[in-house]
Amino acid sequence: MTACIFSVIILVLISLGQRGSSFFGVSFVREGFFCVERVVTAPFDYVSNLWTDYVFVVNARQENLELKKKQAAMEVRCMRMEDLRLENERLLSMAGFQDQYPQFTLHPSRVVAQDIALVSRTAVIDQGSRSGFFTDMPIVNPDGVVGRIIDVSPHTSQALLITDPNSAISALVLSNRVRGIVKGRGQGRLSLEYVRTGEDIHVGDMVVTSGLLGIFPRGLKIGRIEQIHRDRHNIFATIILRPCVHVRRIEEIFGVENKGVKKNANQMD
Amino acid sequence: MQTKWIRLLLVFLFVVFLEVCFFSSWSAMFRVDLFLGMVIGLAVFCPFSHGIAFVFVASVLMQAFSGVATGGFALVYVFSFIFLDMIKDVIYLENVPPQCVLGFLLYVMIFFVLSFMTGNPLNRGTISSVLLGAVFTGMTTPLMVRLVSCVWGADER
Repeated sequence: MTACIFSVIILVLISLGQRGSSFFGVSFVREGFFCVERVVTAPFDYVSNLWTDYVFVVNARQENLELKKKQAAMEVRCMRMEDLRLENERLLSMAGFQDQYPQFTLHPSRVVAQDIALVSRTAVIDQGSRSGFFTDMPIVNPDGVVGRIIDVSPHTSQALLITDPNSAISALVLSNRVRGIVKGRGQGRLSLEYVRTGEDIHVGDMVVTSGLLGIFPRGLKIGRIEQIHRDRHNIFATIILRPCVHVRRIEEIFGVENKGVKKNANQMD
Repeated sequence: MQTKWIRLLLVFLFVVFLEVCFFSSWSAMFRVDLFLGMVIGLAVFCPFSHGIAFVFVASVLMQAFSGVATGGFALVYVFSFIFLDMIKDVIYLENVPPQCVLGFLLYVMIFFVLSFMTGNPLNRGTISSVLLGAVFTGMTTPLMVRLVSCVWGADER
C-alpha cells in the first residue's frame, strides 16, 4: 500500500517535471537551504572580504595602475582610429572627385609647413617634381580649391593658397553663371571682382571655378558669398566670399594633373 | 670662425623650424619673429662684415618658406641690420629695454614694408594680430640676442 502511494507520488512528480512546471516544495527547500547557507557563510565571507579588500589592496592598486595604462593606450589607439576614419572619408570623397573628372589625375600630398611671413599665404607640401607636381598645378581637397603650385623642387613644393592677395582664379556664380575673378584678401577671406552692381546675386550663393584659363577644372567649389556691397556710383559690386576650404587647417591635398595637357619640360624640373 | 657660422646657422634653422612648423600651427595670424632678435644680436656682437653676410644668407634661405617676392626678406633684414649698426653707437643696445623696443618697432616696420611689397590689404584684424606679434617679438628679442652672444662668444670664454 505504502509502495503504491509513493509510486503514485513519484509518477505525479515525473509528470509535473515533464510539463515543465516546478514543484513548490522543491523550490521551498532550495530557498530554505540557501537562506541557511547565507547565514552560516556570512561571517566567513565578511572575513574573506576584509582580507581581499583591505589586506590585498596593494595588488588592486597595482592592477589599477596597469589598467589605467592600458586604458590610456586604448584611448590613443581610439584617437588614431578616429583620425584614420576621417582620413578615409576625405580620401573617399576625393575618389568621388576622381570619378567626376576622369580626365584628371590626382596626386596626393600633405602640408608640412605654413608661410613664415605674416603677409603672404603659402604652404609647403611634401611632394615635388619627382611625384609629378609642376608649377601652376591646381591644388584641391575634398572641400574645394586650395590654391596652386608656385615653386617646385624634386621632393617639396610651395603652394600659393587662394587667400593670398596674389592669387586670382577665374570663377562663376553657380546660381546664375555670372563670371568674375576671385582674389585673395588675406585674413581667410576672398573677393569676387568684376561683377556688375546690377547682377542678380545673393548672399549664400556658391562660387565655383569657371575653367576658363585652363588651370583649374571647371565646377570646383571656391566659396560662398558672405557680403555684397552695391554702390550706385561704382560699376562693379564689392563681393566678399568665405572660402569652402579652411586653408589653415588643410592636411591632405591633391595636385590635379590634366592628362590631356602636355606640361612644359622646364616646369617639371 | 667656421664653427661660429655653423652654430649660428644651426640656431637659425631651429628658429625657422619654430616659425614655420610651430607658431603657424597655433594661429594663421600670429607670428613671432625670432630671427629679428638674431639680427639685433648680430648687430651688437658680431663684426659688421660677418653680421651682414650672415643676415643676407639667412634671409635668402628664409625665402624658401614664404611666398614673399624674391629678395623681400633680404631687403628688410639687411637694411634692419645696417640701421642697427648705425644706431648702436648712439643707443646702448646691450641693455634689455632697447632690445625689446627695437624688436617691437622693427617687427611692425618689416610687416608694413612686406605688406606694401605684396599688396596685402590691411584691416583691423591684421593690425591687432601684428601688434600682438610685435609684443611677443619684443619680449623674445633679448633671449635671442643673448643666444647669439653665447654662440658668437663661446670660443672667447
